[in-house]
Amino acid sequence: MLRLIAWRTGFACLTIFVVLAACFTAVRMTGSPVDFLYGDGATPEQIVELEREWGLDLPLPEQFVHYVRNLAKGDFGNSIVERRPVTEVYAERLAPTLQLAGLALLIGTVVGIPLGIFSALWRGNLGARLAMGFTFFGYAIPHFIIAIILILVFGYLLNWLPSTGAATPLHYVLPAITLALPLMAINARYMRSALLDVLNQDYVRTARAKGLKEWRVIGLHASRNAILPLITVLGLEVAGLVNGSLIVETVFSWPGVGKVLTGSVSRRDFPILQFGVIMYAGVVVGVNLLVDILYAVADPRIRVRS
Amino acid sequence: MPLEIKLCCIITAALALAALFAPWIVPFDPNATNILEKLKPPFFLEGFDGVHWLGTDQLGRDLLARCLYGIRVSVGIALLGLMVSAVVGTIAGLAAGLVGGWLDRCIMLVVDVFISVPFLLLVLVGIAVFGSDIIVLILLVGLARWESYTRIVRGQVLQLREMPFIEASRSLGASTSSIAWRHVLPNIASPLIVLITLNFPAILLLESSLSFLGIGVQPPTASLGRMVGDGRDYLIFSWWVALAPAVVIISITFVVQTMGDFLRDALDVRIDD
Repeated sequence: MLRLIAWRTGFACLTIFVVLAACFTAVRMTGSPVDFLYGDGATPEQIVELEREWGLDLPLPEQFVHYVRNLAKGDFGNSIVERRPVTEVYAERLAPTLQLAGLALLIGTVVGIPLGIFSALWRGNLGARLAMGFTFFGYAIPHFIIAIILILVFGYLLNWLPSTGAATPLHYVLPAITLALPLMAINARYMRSALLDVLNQDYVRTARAKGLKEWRVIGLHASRNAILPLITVLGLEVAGLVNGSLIVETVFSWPGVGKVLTGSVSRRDFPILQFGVIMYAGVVVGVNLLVDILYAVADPRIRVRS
Repeated sequence: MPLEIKLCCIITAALALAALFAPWIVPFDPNATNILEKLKPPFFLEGFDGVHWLGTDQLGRDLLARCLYGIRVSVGIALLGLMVSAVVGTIAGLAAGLVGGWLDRCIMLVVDVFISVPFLLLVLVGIAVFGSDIIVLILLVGLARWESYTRIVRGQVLQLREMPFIEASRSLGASTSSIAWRHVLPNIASPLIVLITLNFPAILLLESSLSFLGIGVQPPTASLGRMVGDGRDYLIFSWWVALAPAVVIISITFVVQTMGDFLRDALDVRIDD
């Protein structure tokens, strides 16, 4: 068990390191931020001066060693455009993003899992079919189209909800639903098929045979075992949330991390981009690591096999 | 074949033909602007002018023409990207499964690393570095999901490798590449076809999301995602500008997804998400 955790953790660190190295090399392959910031306005001497200041004149491996050494000290560099620590830039944008993602994950789980249970139990019934059709749509429609439709209907036609910014709690509704719909679809689909598998197991038949009430059979015996595979879906969902939040924040002008990150791409703000990539990759890798460990803890069979 | 699959085939064929023969269907240049004609409503609304069936956008460009040419661009990029990822992923999977050893371990390590990185982020970095040329877009979009082929193919190869006919051809002196090409590939065709079909909607959505963000296909070229993005600013009074391409995107992904699910069940292929 301990060996499994150690191995997985090591692998997670390796992954982040590889991502970091790849990103670091890639962003430096074309274009210097100096050209972008000052265009033709800077003299060659000034450009050389600025590149020295940001350490861009050193050979690539040396720059990388330098960067990693600073990372170890907790120094993530300064934003080239805003001229202040990247951690500061991100820190003030982190709360809205986390709140939005958390809310979406909550809605997706609280609605998606019962939806899956419902459509597994009443398979063939019209309501359950509609529910599965709905999850199918959740799969096939991208975030930005869901967002556009919600803004059009609830923002403009009905005029019920605001659609830009994050000023009041009402502002959270549309972006959170946009992010949550695909999660709902994933949860409902997985829960449905997991529960259908479990319902055919002997212990469910035994539970029924000994006269347990149906809600106890479903609620206590079947659902608990069906939820187990759903832990693995969490990793998938977080990756989806990361992708989705980049888009949703742009559409709803959300004052979050996603906008900082997409903006840094066109402005060639290397330190911001690098930190964003580390952060997002760290979250996804971290959640996957947690999922692996949780799964091993929850399911003794995994422990034995490894 | 169930009715809905027949319907899906008809819709696919109709969309494909409409996109192919776009110049003969609509008499308008998709990029020709005409400010006097801007934001005209489509045929089912009051004020339809009898010429622009889906209305016009903020620059007076015909939306039907832009949608049809947009299908060409978006589906074209998605299909080429799909080919890239299928070829790369399949070759990697064949190599991992047939050669084995350290090559197998290396390839699976890359796959594992790849899975744990949010893909949109990777593409963002890629576009920041290489710009948003169509070729770059195709290659970047082609990076998406290549690992799904590698995993499936490797799994299948590991099973096939022990089969007597593979062993026989190996003992007759066949090289690894000829075994891969002549014996393994034909035997794993059906999971591959299903996987390609199921991956298509995802890749199309990726391309349109990128274009929607303004970092994919560059104007004035019409791409479905970009059109939705442009129409976003005119939602209040001219919602059809955004909704027309959105409906096209949804129909394509929906139809292909349905056909993929059907193929998967009909060919009895197990593909874990």
